Amino acid sequence: MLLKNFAELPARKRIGIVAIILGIVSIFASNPFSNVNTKVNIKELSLVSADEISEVNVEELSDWLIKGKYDYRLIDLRKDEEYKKYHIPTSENVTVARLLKSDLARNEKIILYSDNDITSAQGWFILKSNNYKGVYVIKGGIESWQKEILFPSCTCDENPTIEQKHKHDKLAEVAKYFGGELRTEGIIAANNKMEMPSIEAPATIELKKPKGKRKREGC
Amino acid sequence: MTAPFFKFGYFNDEVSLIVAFVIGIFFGLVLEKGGFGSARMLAAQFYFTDMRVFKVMFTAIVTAMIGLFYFSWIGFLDLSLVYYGETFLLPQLLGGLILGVGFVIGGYCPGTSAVAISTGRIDAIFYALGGMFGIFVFGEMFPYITDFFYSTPMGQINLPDLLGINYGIIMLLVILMAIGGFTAAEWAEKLMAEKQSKARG
Amino acid sequence: MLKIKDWFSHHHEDNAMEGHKTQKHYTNPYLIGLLLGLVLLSAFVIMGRGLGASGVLSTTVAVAVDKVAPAHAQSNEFYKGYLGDGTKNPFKDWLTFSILGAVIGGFISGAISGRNKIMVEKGPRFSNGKRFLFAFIGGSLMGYGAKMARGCTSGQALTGGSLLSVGGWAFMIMVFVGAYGMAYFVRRQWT
Repeated sequence: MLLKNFAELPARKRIGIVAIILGIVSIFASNPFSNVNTKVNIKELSLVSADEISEVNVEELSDWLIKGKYDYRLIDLRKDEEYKKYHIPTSENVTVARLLKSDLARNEKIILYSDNDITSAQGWFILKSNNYKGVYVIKGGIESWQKEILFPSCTCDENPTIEQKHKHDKLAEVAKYFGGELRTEGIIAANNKMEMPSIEAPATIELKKPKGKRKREGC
Repeated sequence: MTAPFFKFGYFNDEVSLIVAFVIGIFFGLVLEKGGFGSARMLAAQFYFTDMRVFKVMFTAIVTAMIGLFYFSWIGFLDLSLVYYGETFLLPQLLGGLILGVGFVIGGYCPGTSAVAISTGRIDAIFYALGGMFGIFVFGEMFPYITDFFYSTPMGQINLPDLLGINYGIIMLLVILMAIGGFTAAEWAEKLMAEKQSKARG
Repeated sequence: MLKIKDWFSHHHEDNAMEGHKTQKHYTNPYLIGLLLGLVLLSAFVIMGRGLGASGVLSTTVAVAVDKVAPAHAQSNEFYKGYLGDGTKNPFKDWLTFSILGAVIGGFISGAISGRNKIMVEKGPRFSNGKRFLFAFIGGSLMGYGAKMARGCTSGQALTGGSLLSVGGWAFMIMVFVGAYGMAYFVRRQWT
């Protein structure tokens, strides 16, 4: 019997024969790299409703940036040109189409933003349905970053209380930190434009973005 | 797809260190069992007297290669998440050459020297000290050789992509090559044993 | 019927090596290779990365340089890569812990097989002092080469080899070229 003959062979020959058989079979299998799950899991998607998207608001984010908390990766989903014009400090540019090909890992905390909530939600769905665990979206995206952090409007009365003044000062400080300014009524009247600070020459932004943040995996 | 477990977030960094430790123990066990803890056994490859380490190494490569392929094929493992280094052809060719020369002079490689030290080989301690010295020299020279270090970049590329040949065919070729190598190794060992017994008279 | 035990049986005899009579016999190399492959495979499946050994030595060097001359280390891209961003201990790493495990695993296996012995590995015609010198020189070349090639035998040849990485295979071929080319000149050390 074939099996009996096989059993009588020395171990090395048996290992060799098994290896050759597995090798021959593998020719008829497809490329294992093309087998990668780049498709969106539609069934799972349909079960998730929009209000399940985990959100981070811009105040939290600005707080983390100032404190130098970097246990997440901030992803800008907009087009290259827009990213080059201005982006939130420390963010990386990955468009939705490139998300799954990027080096984002499933065990990382990922924070997405865009110029509209639809793109962000799209990115969120894609990552979520591919088993990325900690995916968050910035509420309001770049627009609310602009309106609430860079150029917050002053809401104080003529005679502000201490509390209001404190809040006012903080807003001004944060805005200045990121290169914007607090908009008092006077400024709004004079110039209604909220021009994004130039990303090339950030006057006050001295963020200690860790270099080589990606973990080394080689030896 | 559920594997690699770590990259799907089944456990955190802290746990990964414990996993590393446990896998390391098995790594050490198998290396020692394979004869990698003995410099003479390792060096014997290069004199064709005992091809044991060569056999262990290529059987391991073939086993892991087949395992990766089939795990990926059945949809258990996402192969794109398994890390392997980018190719920088020239520095890797030169580095391999220098390492090979160092291998036969020193008698170990970094992993095997760890096992050799723990099994009491004094020369392995000198080897590891030398290793650190060599790395220090490399570190000091790094600013001057940065250009070469990053030359001929090819990205993360594997043989099937480079040659444009089906992954399975490359695998079969590697398997056949390994088996051919093993047969040649057995034959060389026999030949050297005969030669040695003749020399002894 | 095929029995598991039968698979692991020892039909094939290892060639007893000259000068190796003091040591106990090793088991079938193909079987050990199979096990080594499975260990490697388990690293791929569990962690998504292979094994590496030279990284620990590099971290040690980088940390030592950083202790002695912090400004010098911080200005060097190579050292900085191993020191990280300073938020965590550079030794708290996969590579360190796996090598720590390997040291212990090696000791356990050596103890079981009765191969743990304080000794110097060399041929009978070679002095201890010369062997230590050669080990140091060989180690230096290996350290240098491993960093140039971005990995050592475990990292490039085993890990890269099984993933069919172009760099891994190019590296492996050159290791054999270098070692077989050099073997003749240092034969007195081993034979």
